[in-house]
Amino acid sequence: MKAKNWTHLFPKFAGLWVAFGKDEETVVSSAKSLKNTIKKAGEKGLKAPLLFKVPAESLPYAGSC
Amino acid sequence: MPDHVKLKFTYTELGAKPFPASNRLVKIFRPLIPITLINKNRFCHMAVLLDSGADFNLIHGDVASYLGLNLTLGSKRTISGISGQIRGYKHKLQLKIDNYLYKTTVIFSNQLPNNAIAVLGNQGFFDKFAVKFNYPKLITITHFNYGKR
Repeated sequence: MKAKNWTHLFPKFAGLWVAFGKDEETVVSSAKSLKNTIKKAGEKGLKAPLLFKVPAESLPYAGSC
Repeated sequence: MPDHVKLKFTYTELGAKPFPASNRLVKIFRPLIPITLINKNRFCHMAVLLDSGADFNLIHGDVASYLGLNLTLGSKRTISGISGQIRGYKHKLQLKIDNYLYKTTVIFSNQLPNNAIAVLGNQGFFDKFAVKFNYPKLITITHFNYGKR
């Protein structure tokens, strides 16, 4: 099984919510708010997209808060 | 009825700067899996990090609002991490992983730092599943005693 490739998220979508298409790699919508991200994806025909809050900084990570 | 459920997920590849001023990105593989949070007739399908170092499931507060939960009506919790303390609110809801649905608790917070990733932690996830990390290829999640635990 191949890892999902989300290397394109930085820096373009840093700090934003993104919605992915069916392939779970292509970003179909993005916004600062979750609600708007879902709304924009819905306008493109995606009713239940996979969502992700992209961290504002693309640094190595070791914990949430 | 099977006595266990076994689910398989791939890792997710992201780019990360080795240090803030760097112009280059190095490859990082993280155990992000898709889940669906459900509250009554509202749901949110999102990617979360499996973090066995986290005591709780911890998710951004705007997800609670989207699910129709009144954030501050949950029981208050203070969570500490690398960069300090934040306040969160614990809520009960349903969590679906692949086709496996179960009741759990999630702490939602509007104070998560802007570089935070939503996580599934020990209470509400790792206490229900055995997880095998085969970095950076495969994550296998097994739930034993299907429907009994």
